Amino acid sequence: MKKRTIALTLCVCLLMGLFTGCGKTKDGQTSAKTRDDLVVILPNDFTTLDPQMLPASADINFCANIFDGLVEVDPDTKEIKPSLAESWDISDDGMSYTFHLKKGVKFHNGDEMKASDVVYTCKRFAEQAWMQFASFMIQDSEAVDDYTVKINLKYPYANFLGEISYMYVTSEKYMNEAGDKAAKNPIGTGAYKFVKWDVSQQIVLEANKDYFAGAPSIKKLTFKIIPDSNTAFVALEKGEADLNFNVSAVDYNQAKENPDLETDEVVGNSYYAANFNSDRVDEKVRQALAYAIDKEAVNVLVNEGQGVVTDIPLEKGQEGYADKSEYTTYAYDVEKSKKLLAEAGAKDLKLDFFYGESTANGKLAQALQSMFSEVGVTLELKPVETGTWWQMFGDGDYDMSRGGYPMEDVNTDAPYFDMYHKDGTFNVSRINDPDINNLLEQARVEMDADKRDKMYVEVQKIIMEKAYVIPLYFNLSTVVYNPALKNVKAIHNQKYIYKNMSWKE
Amino acid sequence: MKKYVLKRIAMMIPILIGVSFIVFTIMSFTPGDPARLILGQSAPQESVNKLHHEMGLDDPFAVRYFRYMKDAVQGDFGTSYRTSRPVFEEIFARFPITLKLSLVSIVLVVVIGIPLGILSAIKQYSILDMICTVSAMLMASVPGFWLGLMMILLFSLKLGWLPSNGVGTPAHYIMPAIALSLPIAAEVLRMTRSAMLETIRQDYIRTARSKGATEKIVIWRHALKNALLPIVTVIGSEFGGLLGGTILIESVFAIPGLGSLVVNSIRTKDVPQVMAATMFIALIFCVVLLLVDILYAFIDPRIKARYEQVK
Repeated sequence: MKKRTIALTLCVCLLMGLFTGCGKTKDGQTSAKTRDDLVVILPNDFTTLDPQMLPASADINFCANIFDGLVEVDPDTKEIKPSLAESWDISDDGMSYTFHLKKGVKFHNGDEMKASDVVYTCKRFAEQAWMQFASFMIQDSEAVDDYTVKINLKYPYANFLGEISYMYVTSEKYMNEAGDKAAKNPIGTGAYKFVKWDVSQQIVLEANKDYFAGAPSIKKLTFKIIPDSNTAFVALEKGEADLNFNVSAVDYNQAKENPDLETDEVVGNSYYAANFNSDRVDEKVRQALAYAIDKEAVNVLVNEGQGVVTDIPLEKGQEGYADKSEYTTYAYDVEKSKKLLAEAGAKDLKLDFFYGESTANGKLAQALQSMFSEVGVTLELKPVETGTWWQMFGDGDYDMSRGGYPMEDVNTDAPYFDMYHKDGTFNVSRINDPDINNLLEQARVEMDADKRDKMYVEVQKIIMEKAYVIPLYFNLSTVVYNPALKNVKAIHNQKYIYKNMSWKE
Repeated sequence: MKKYVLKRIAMMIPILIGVSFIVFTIMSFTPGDPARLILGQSAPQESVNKLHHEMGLDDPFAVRYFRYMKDAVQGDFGTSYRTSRPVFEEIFARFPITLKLSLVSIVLVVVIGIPLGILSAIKQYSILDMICTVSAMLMASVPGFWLGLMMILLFSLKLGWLPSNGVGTPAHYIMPAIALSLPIAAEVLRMTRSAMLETIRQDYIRTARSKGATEKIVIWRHALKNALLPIVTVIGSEFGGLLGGTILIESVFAIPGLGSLVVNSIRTKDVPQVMAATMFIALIFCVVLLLVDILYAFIDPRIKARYEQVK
């Protein structure tokens, strides 16, 4: 009889588990007064924490908490500020930069940071393929004395200081001693010391008491890796985590309604576009299809309307920004699109659209597909793995693909050159336009900001006139956090620096 | 018996070779260049080509496969393209978690499935039987990940009893184990019920009853023991499956198990990692099946006798 009772109870419990409705009760947030730790949610684990081997900008931003650069970019004013370097001199020809290092800055293992460490780091920075995006102009570097480093460039490069902010200084001695282990046990000069890394679970950092710019207020940082966005959101709602800057658009709207969560948003730096392979799709067809896209609708379909629709990959105030009136735009117009397609003699046109597999890209692809079908063009969707996509992109084996770029704060040269120059590493449209090539090559070595600005505007004019690219939108960079946290602001490029945050008294 | 086991262990070798060949073939013929993946999207083509050559990726398929197998036999399964660390480092970091979760789940399966199955068989057509059968159908048809999310909402968010993600404490395993075990428990319940129904109608059960054995002995010793073979088979193969990792539940509860490792590695075309992980999973599966077969011998003396005939 006893067994039966147990079995019955079990049965009832299970059924209750299945059918219990969702009531409305809410626990208060955990009291913040006694806390000096912070739990942050990340959607993916890292592959390495070697600051010169990091494959994605998300990882590079993370490392800014453990390491420091020679200089840093102020997130608000976008000005270059000193970090490990106290000051710097630029040679008259702009070919070499001499950095005067702060004295007495210590690595987490107690060694002093010296010029030799910077020279060692600079060598790795210039050699590693992953860092090419920021190190392409570096020739070499030398230690003048223990606290002075001279970096020589291949050509004068106006935004060198912005790019060198991506170079996080490592300890030569430690890197050589630790070898392969250094990637799993990073040692830097930064505000936080590495404690442990449980693969796919969490990364723990602790405050660096001896940080040269003052010890941070939050003593312990835990980064929890939660791939599922629903689970991540529950962890926030429950107070198991305090901050998440990778919240889905739907969850973000929900968070705004929740009085126990604070939110903030800012226009993001991730620019999205639909690119034509200009080797395969001719100008007339490109223009026609540019008219076929209703960007506002795409933004609603992909981003719940949270993105910011754009015709230019720059924000107002950035070099090369121009008003809409200065270049051709393609307002949504189905009739015009059909007419142009007829003129181009494109009948029963079939194009393929390759993109890295992800929910957002899938939604974008479907939106484009349905809009193109309105004008009688069939878009075949080809989702592929990222690695496969890189190869297809290298071989040029596609008609259309999703492009875009993580835009930079102060530098228009690197993104524009990468996207639009024939040798650019992210030239998804396979543009090889002599005018554009010329303009970009000149702009790269032009030291006069106004002249550069005009050249970039010129490039934008050509790009739009020939419809190489259909610019779509910028993402909205959002952050959801515990309201008891102070000094949290949405950061456009998700470079969250935790040393500035603290708990309210 | 010993001979039988040895023979079975020897048979695992061709199975593993087969698995390695199939996975290697599929990974080789899908597009995507590992050299490009290692160096990154912005690396110049020349350095990609150079690395491509250094990694021996220019060689014909057969050469690459035999080279891989030669190294593998010597215990060198290579390093992950993604993390450049030995592939088994990550597998062994994750396997204990998957093992713990699978063990808890399979215990739940046994505790829920078998007693309820027996109960509903001996009380056939009673209310209890109906409740069991209907809930088994429900349990079998509810997707585990949905159940997982619902449990998170109820037990973590509303009631605050259990942690919603991670694997820190034993409490972390409760919800994922339930989500994993319910569909399997339902299957075991139905299997137990039908197997028991069949055996309790047999003549020897009537004989047992007539010789005056208590109902308890009749059910547990006579009926269940004979009904157990198909149940053990199902539980065994499900256990093997669980040990291979479960991507959906792992992702819902943020559990770093083997399933997400395999999926992530496939996504990033991390060939050495995929090869090592699938071969490891295949080996574990084989071992579990062997254990199940050995278990047969203890349940059914006839099978034991047959094992002993193996030459």
